[in-house]
This record gives sequence, structure tokens and C-alpha cells, in this order.
Amino acid sequence: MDEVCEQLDQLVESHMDALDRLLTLHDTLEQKLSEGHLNIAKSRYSMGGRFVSALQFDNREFSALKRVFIKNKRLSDTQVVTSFTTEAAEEPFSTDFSENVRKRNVKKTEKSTETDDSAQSPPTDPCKWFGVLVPQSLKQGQRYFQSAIDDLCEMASIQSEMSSLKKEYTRLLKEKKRIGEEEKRVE
Amino acid sequence: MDSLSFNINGGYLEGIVRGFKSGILKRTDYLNLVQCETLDDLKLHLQSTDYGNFLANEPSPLSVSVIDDKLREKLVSEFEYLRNHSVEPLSTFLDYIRYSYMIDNIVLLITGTLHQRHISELIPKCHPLGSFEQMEAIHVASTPAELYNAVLVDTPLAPYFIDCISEHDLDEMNIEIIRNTLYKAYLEDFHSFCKNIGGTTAEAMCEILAFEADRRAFIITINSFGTELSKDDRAKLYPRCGKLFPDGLSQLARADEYEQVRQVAENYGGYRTLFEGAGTNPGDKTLEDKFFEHEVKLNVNAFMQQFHFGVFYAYIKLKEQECRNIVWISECVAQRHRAKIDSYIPIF
Repeated sequence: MDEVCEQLDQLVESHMDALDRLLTLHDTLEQKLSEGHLNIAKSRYSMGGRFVSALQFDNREFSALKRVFIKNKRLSDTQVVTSFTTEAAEEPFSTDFSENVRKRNVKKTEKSTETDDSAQSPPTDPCKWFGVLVPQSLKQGQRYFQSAIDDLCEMASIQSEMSSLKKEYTRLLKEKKRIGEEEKRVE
Repeated sequence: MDSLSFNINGGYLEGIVRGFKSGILKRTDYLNLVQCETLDDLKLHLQSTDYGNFLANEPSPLSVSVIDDKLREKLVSEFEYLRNHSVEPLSTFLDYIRYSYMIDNIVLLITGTLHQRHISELIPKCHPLGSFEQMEAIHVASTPAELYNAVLVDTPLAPYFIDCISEHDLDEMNIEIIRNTLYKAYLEDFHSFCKNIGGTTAEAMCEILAFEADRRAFIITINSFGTELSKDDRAKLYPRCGKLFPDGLSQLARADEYEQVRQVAENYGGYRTLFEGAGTNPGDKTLEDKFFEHEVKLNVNAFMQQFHFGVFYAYIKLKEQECRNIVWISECVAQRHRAKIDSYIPIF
């Protein structure tokens, strides 16, 4: 019984800890997004509003600079935690699959040796859509948005961690109730 | 331009432009705008200025791009009035002002075509002052040579394009090079036109255009760090009608980083002060802001003299700065990010 109570306490502590990390990340995300948008407004001030708008999006190639890797980790019989990490999209798809790695775009390994270089060429930097000589504020805004993506992934991982902690907590609470009733019956 | 005879052809229009100039927003107007909480507040405050009810027919909620478009419409109608009532050589002078907008439109259209946007999406976004008949034909061009033969050869920009004709396919790099080469040729041509007019016009305009040339050289250099633009290609984009020609430009061509650009500016008194005040720390003005400030100062000085064409150019540029200011304040209000709302540049 004491064991279960101790485990419950530990779970509450880790849950609060995760919540704290989540809220701090929320704050930094908000800051980064607002700075990013302000930098876009600044580059409109320098270049002219028509030159920094949805009109410049490249319809030929709309591929992302970053990829998200989703990994399911099994901590115990009942706990499964999903973690999200980002990686630059320049590296070719890695072919070693370990620990249940689930990827967004799956490419067969035999095909990857046949495909020519153009399929594996790195995606173009979206800053180039607006011209080669873009003001520093545009590049700065891009950096803010890119680091915001990393924050988002971490937040998603923490949220999945929190939900698995919560499940474990409810399970242990039921266990504690069951043990309590058993002890009462024995008395 | 002889002060005795200027008023025969130019007196009415100079009077009109000075009237327009007195409607440019003052510091107190900006202080009111900065205190707005929403874009509708901003619209209310603008009603008491020369802009009047220009946003009256816009459906709410207002967006910043709508405000930008409407501000531009007013400037366009004022310019058209001036152009329609002018005679030579003022009409050629006003046409020269138009060419810079034409260059912007061409670049907008080619980039849009490269990115496979439909021409009907792009045409409404072009600046009205820079429209020309062959605009719609731009989407057929896939190399600079085709662009010249199909579109530009009949426009006034044809002589500026001589250096850019090639058979390579258009991509982001050569579009950027085309943009800057056209602008360089235009600026040098405009400068020599003003010099030929002589008198007070040459005095006022050549100073303004020289600063524009030097500013472009600095900005091109700084923005090219970290890109694939080679130093030789970069050197070909510097306009030669400024104070930096020839020594400063050759030094800039060799620069690799911001410090070296600053060193070049140290040799020129006017530019040294601009670089000194600029920095990237929060609370500092950026270099581009310092350049805009200096441009505003030169344009305001143009109004100190009478009987010259510089007042027309200065008015257009000051109105553009006012549009930029109002759009910046609107963005800060719309994004509720008031930290940098005071970075606008007051004119009067």
C-alpha cells in the first residue's frame, strides 16, 4: 500500500514538472511567433508590401525545410510515450529502423539506391522566393519561426508524456482503492 | 531653370504640389495614430487628416493590406493629376519617376510567372503608377532575351535592358540581377537628365539621386553576404552616380563583412554618421532606418527652394514614406506588438 502511495506521489511530482516545462515553452513560443511576425512586417517596410506576400509562394516546389520524426517508446507494460523530434530535410532518408520508428514519408530502401540525385536534392530556402538580396529582417524572422517549430515538437512530446503519466496515475489510483478494500476485508 | 520663366509652365503645378505637401501628416498626427488600439481606431483618426473618408467603403474587419492599397490609390490620383497637367520638360521628369515603379512591376510579374502563378493573380498587385501596355505579355517570357523581345523593347525601359540580355533561363538569381541592373541604368539616366536640365533642379535632384545610388550600393553589399551572388556580379550592380564612385564602390566590391562596409563609410562624412547610429541591439535604429531618415531630410530640404522640379520628386518620396509609416503603425496595432511602434520616421 505504501509503495503504491509513494508511486502516486512521484507521478504527481513528474506531472507538475512536465506542466511547468510546458507552460514555459508556451511563453517562449508566443514570444518567438510574435517576433517572427514583427520581422516579416519590418521586411515589408523595407521591401514594399507587395514583395513580401502570399503572391511570392513558389507553386512549383512547396517542400518543407524540416521534417518531424515520431517515435513511440514503450516504458513499461502500460506506458507508451510518443516523442517528436525535428531534423533538417537536407539529409537523405535514413534507412536504419530501430525502436519502432514511424516516419511521415516512407521510402523503400531498394528505390533509394536507384533514384537520381535530383530526388534527394535539398529543398530551396523559402527566403529565396522573395529575391536573392533579402533584408536581414526576413532572414531573422525565418530563424524565429524555425526555432518555434522545435519548441512545438518539444511541447507535443511533453503533452504525450503528461497523458501517459495521467493514465498511469488513474491506474495506480484504482490499484490503491483495490488494495484498500482488500485490507478492510481482511480486518 | 530661370526663376522668371518657371511659373509660366510650372507655377500652377508647383502651387498644387506645395498644397499637397501641407497635407502630409505631422508629428501630432502620428502621436494620435500610435495610441490606437485597433485598426478601426486608426481609420477614425485618419478621417481627420487629409485622407478623409478613404476607408469609408471598406468592409470591416479592416486588414493592413487594404489600408496599404487605399493609401497608394490616393497618391496615384494626385500623381496622375500632376502628370496630366504638365508640359515638357516636367512631363518627362514625371515619367522618369514612373519608371522605378515599372521596374518593380516587371520584377513582380516575372517572379510570379517563374513561380507558376496565374497572370490574373499578379496584375491587380502591380503598382498603378508603373503599369504599361505590354504588362500582360510578360508570362510568355522564360529567358531574358524573350522578355526583351516580347515585352520590353517597346517600353521606355528598353535602353536599360541592354546589359541583361542572355539566353539563360530565368531563375531567382538572374531576376535579382535584372532588377538591380535595370535600376542602376535608370538611376544613372535620371541623374544625367537632371544634370542636363541644370539650375536649381540639378542642384536638388542630383544630391538626392547620388544618395539613392550610394544607399543602394551599401544595401546590396550588406544583403549579399551569405548569398551566392559573386563579388564581380555584385560590383556590376552598383550605380555610379553617387559620391562613392569610383573609390568607394571598388572598396565595397571587395568587402566580405559588415565591418568592412563600415570602414568604407568612414571615409565619407555624411555616411559615417549614419553608420555610427545604427546597430542590431534592441532600441537601436537599424541601418535601413537611418537611410530612410536621411532620405526624408534631403527630400524636405528640396522644398526650401522654389522654381525647380525637385519638389515633385520629393513630394512623391515623402508620401511613400508616410504610407510606410502608417502601414508600420497599423501592423504594430494589428499584431498588438507595441514595442517597436515608434520606429516610424516623422516627416514634419
